[in-house]
Order: sequence, then structure tokens, then C-alpha cells
Amino acid sequence: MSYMLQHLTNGWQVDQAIMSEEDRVLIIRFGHDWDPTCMVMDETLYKCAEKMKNFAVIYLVDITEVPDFNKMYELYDPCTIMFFYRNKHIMIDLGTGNNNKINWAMEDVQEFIDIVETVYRGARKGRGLVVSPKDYSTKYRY
Amino acid sequence: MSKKRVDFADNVENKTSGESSRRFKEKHSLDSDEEDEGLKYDILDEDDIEGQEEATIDYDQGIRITPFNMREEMEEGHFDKDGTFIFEKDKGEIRDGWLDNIDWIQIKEVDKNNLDGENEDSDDDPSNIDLIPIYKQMLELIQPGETVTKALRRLGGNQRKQVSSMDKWKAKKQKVEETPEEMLNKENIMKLTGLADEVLSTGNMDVYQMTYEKISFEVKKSEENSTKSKTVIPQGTQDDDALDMFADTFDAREAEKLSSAERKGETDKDTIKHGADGDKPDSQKATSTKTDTVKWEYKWENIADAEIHGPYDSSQMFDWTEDGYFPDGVFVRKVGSDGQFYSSKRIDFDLYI
Repeated sequence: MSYMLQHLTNGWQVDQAIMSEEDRVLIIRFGHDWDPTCMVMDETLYKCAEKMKNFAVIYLVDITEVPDFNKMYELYDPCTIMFFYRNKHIMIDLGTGNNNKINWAMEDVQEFIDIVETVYRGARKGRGLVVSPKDYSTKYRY
Repeated sequence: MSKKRVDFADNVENKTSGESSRRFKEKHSLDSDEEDEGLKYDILDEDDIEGQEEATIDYDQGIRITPFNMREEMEEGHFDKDGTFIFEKDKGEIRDGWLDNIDWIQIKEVDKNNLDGENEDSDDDPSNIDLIPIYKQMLELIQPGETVTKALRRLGGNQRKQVSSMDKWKAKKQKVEETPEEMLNKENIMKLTGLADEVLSTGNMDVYQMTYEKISFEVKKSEENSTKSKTVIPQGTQDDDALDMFADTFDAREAEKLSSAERKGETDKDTIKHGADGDKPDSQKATSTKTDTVKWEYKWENIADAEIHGPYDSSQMFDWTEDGYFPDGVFVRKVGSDGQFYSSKRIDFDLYI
């Protein structure tokens, strides 16, 4: 079964998506479809969407089309992944120092699924901050 | 015999506690760091305070004037010669003749007896009475998708229609008999409320918010548990086969979540093999198949041909990390995922229990 990644085209839709999802992790990719970094990330997201459909749902947001959140979430990177659970932003300790988001493209599908699963399990237990299984500090140094 | 000893210990305790209330008033008690009155210092006489004056006027254009003297302060305490104000705590204390007359020793004995009695009672009537029959009865009254509260509202809906007093009055006047349906609903409401109350009394305060699905899940879970504890093995099959069947369902669930259908076969084989390697007792294996339990395997070094230990369940891994068996971390991965090994330092096993 093919599984398209859904775009959210305005701020209201994003808000609704965040608020209405009751028992799955909400993954939002902020960026541009034409951006090479986003293309890599979207490919990964596309591959894991079907596998994660029981505990996560993925949306794409174009930050030029929907600039509403750029300031609030500090969306300055070409590609940003953020996690929400029941209208709450879930932070991940990735080892990078920025616990708010993943701001690079992930290529390993299993790695990303593992992160999302950790987020899901943590959020379900009421954690606002979870630790990603892998430490990304050494590999992705700015 | 043990009973006697307990009594003896209690008496001693009571006596000391009775004495201690007296002892607190004396020196060298636990409270001896508090100021002892009139011994360590000289009290400053009120006449020695210079520059005081009597009250002149009480109010000046509506603003209260406090006379320049220490009279008010002196009522609550006194100064020592160095000018430090010592607040007299005892003075303000409310004395209560009735409270002073209580014989605390006697009361404590009575308490103890009462508590013992209560304990015996609760032993007879444990809070974990079998909820399952109650849940089953409740399920008959609740419709899918409803919470208990919603079901009560639905059952009570018929009466709600006759809100206006006019209707009520009419109904009364005509002496309309309640339809059998209404009677039934009323009966059901009583029954459901009674059942919910029983569950409530066992300490489950969320019973009114429980949905049909949640209740049926509870029933199912307990039924599964009971069959499992009996370890019913169908006739004509080997014990191992039966257990493998459990393992299969477990793997199927895991696989469904994590890997595609074609990979499933492999992981099945893998885990069965690992299961055979592991020296885990069978009972543990059976319990771990309940829901989406995660099992882990680990190796000490993150190199390809390092020996893999496991599988172990999350609580086992959690206990080990908590007890410091892996001071430098080990490399773990979930059984069934062919992904990479992660450092156990970054895995919160608590999340998987």
C-alpha cells in the first residue's frame, strides 16, 4: 500500500493536527520540498511512515507557505523535524545540544524509527524529554 | 508469643512518649537549644529603656499614631541587657483544660486495638476482590464506545425528556404507568450504579470514565492471564510447540510494527533460536508475550563478532543498569530488529517495561 506524506498548508491545519492527534506521536517536517536536505529526509520519512503508522503520523510543512511557526520554533535550518504528543512538544536529547528538534537529514530508516519509538514510549509515560538511542554529537558537529 | 512481645514493646513506647511530653519542659531535653528563661541573660527592666513617652493622641487626621514606647512589645516578650528582644512563646499559647486532661497512654492502647481489628477485617475482605464478574456484568449494560457515565446518561435519557413540571404533573394526574422499557432502564441504572460503586470501593476511582473497550480489555487480559497461569497445553502437541506458538504471536506483533512482511520469517527464526540459547525459565517466557514486550540482546564491545548475550526482557535490563552491572555501558539492540547496537547508557529501559 502506498502511503503519501501529507502536507499542511496553513497554520490552522498545523494547529489542528497537533491538537487532534490523541494517541500517536505527531512528526512534523518543516522545510521546503525542493531543498536537497529535505528531499533526503522525506525519503526516510516516506520509508518509515507505513511501519510507524500505529504510533506515529507524519506531516510536511512548507516554511515559506506557512511562516507562522518560524519564529516560535526557531525554524532557520533547511530541514527541521519536531515531535509532538497530545498537543505537547516532546524534546529529545540527541547529544547535539539542541533538544528541541532534529535539524539535519537522517538517512538510516531504522535509526529514525528507533528515535520515534523512544519518543512515543517516553511521551506515553509522561516524559517531556527523552534520550535518543544514538548520540549524534560526534558525527554531526557544526 | 509474638503477640505478647508486640504488646510489651508498645507499652514501653507509650510510657516513654508519655514521659517525653513532660520532659520537653525541662532542660537538656530535645528542645534544650531553645532559650531558657531568665538564666543565661539579665532581663532589661522597662524603666531602663530611655526616651519613651506616654501615648499622646490616637489619631491624626485619620492616621493612627503609635505612641513611642515599648509597652506593646513588652507584652509579648522582653529585652535582655544587650537589647535583644526575646519573644515569649508560652505566653500566647492557648491552654485547653480538656486537652491537658487526656490520658494519651489509654488512647494509644485503644487505637492499637482498633487498628488491629481493622487489619483483621481487611484481611477477611481484601480490596482485590474479583473484578472480572463485575466488569462482565457492566459490559452487558454499556454499549461499545460508551463510558460508564455516558451509559448512565443514556439509560436516564427517557426521564430527561419530561423536564417541565407541567409534563410531570400531567403524568401524575393521568397516573400513567411507566412503560416496561422505562422500568427496565431504571433497573439497569440501579444495577450499573451498584456495580460501578463496587468497583469504586476497590480503589479504582476512574471507573466512571472507563470505556466499554477498556473494560473488555481488562476482562480479556485477566482471562489470558488465568489461562496462562494454568499453562493449558492442548492435547496432542508438545510443550515446546505450545510455547513456540506464544513466541510466534509475539514476534508477529513485533514484526508487524517494525519490519516488513518478508522480513518477518527471518526474525521469527532468529528469536526462536535466541530463545533456545537463552537459559530462561519457560514461565518467564510466557509472561513476556503479553503485550508489546520488548526483549534485548547485548554485547560488551561494539564489534561485529563480539559475543551476543540475551535475549533479556526490559525489566531485567533495567535492573541490571540500575544495579550498576554495566558501568561503562554495553551495546544493546532490540531482539528482532536487525538495526545497529546502541550504547545502553542512552537507552532508558524503564520506558519499555
